[in-house]
Amino acid sequence: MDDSDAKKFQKDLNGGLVSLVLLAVLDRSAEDLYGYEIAKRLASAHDGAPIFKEGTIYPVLRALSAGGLLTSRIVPSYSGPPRRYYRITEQGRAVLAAWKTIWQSTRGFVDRFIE
Amino acid sequence: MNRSAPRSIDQYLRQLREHLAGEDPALIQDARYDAEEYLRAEVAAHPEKAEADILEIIASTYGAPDEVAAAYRDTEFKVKAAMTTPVHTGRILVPGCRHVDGPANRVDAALSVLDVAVGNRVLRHRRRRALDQYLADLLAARRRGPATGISSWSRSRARARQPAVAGHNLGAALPVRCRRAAAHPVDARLSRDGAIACTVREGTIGGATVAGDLGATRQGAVISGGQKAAYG
Repeated sequence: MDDSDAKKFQKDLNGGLVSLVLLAVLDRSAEDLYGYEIAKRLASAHDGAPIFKEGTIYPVLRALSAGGLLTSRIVPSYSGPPRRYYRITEQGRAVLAAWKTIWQSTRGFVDRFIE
Repeated sequence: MNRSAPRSIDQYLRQLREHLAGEDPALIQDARYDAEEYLRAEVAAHPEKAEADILEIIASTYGAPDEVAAAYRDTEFKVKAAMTTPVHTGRILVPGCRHVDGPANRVDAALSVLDVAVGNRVLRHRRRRALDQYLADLLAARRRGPATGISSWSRSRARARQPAVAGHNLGAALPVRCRRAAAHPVDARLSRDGAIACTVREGTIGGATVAGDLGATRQGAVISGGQKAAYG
C-alpha cells in the first residue's frame, strides 16, 4: 500500500470522526475554545504525523455550529480577524452521546476482524 | 492548479481565495477568516522563525490552500449527512403568505420563520452587522440545502437599500421585528440556541385574524389561521 492509498483511507475514515472528536473536545472543556486552540489540543494529543490537517477542523466547527450542536461567539482580536469561540450545546451533547455509542459499536465490530 | 507554495500569509490567503473561486462569498470569507486566524496565531507562537519558514510547515499541519479549499467544499456535505438523525419535518403555513414546506432542522425552521416574518418587506435594523453575521451563519448552513426564502429577504433589502429588520439585544436572543405590511406587524424571535417564537401583535394575514403568540418551538412552528401548533 503506497502513501497515497494510506492518505485516502485516512481521509475516508475522517469523514465523520472529526465531528465526533470536536464535539468531545468541546464537551470536556470548561471554557469556550476557538479554532486555533482546538487545533493545538488535537495536535498535542497525537504523536507523529497528524491524523487530519488542522485546516479541516474549521469548516467542521462552522457546520456543527450551523447545525445547532455548537454555539459560537465572536471576539474581536487586535492581531488579526475576529476569533470565533465555540461551546457545545445540549443538543450537541445529546448527539455526542449517540455518536459515541455508534463509534464504540463500530470500533468493536471492526476489532473483531482485525485483532 | 499549479503554483508555488505561499511564502507569506497574504500569499496563502490569496491562493486560498483563488482555489475557492466561484464558491459562495460567505464560504470564501469564512475560509479566509479561519485561515488568517490560524496563520497569524502560528506566526505569533514562533517569533524566532521567519514567516516564510512557518508557511513552509503550514502545508503539513494546517494544509495547503488547495487542501483547505477542498475541505470547505466537502466538509459541510459530510457533516450535514452525519447530522440527519435529529431531523424534524413540518410545515409553516401563514394564510396569504408563502407556504414553506419541510424545514429539515432547526436552521431550516429558523430561516423559514424568518422568511415568513420578514415576508418581502423589512423595515429597519439597529444592529445590522450582528444580524448579518447571524444570517450569514444560517446561510452557510443552508448552502447546500433546499432554497426557501432567504434570497427574497436579501433582494428585498437590496432594493430598499437600507437595512430593514429591527433587531436589538442580541445577547440571549435575537428579536427581529418586522412587518409584512403596515397592517400586519410580526415579531419573530430567534434565540441563539435556535428556539423560535413568532408573534403577530394584531391584524389579519390572508383574511385570517391573528393575534398573539403564533408558535414557539425549537424545531419550528406551524402557523395557520391564527392558531398555533408546535411540532418536534
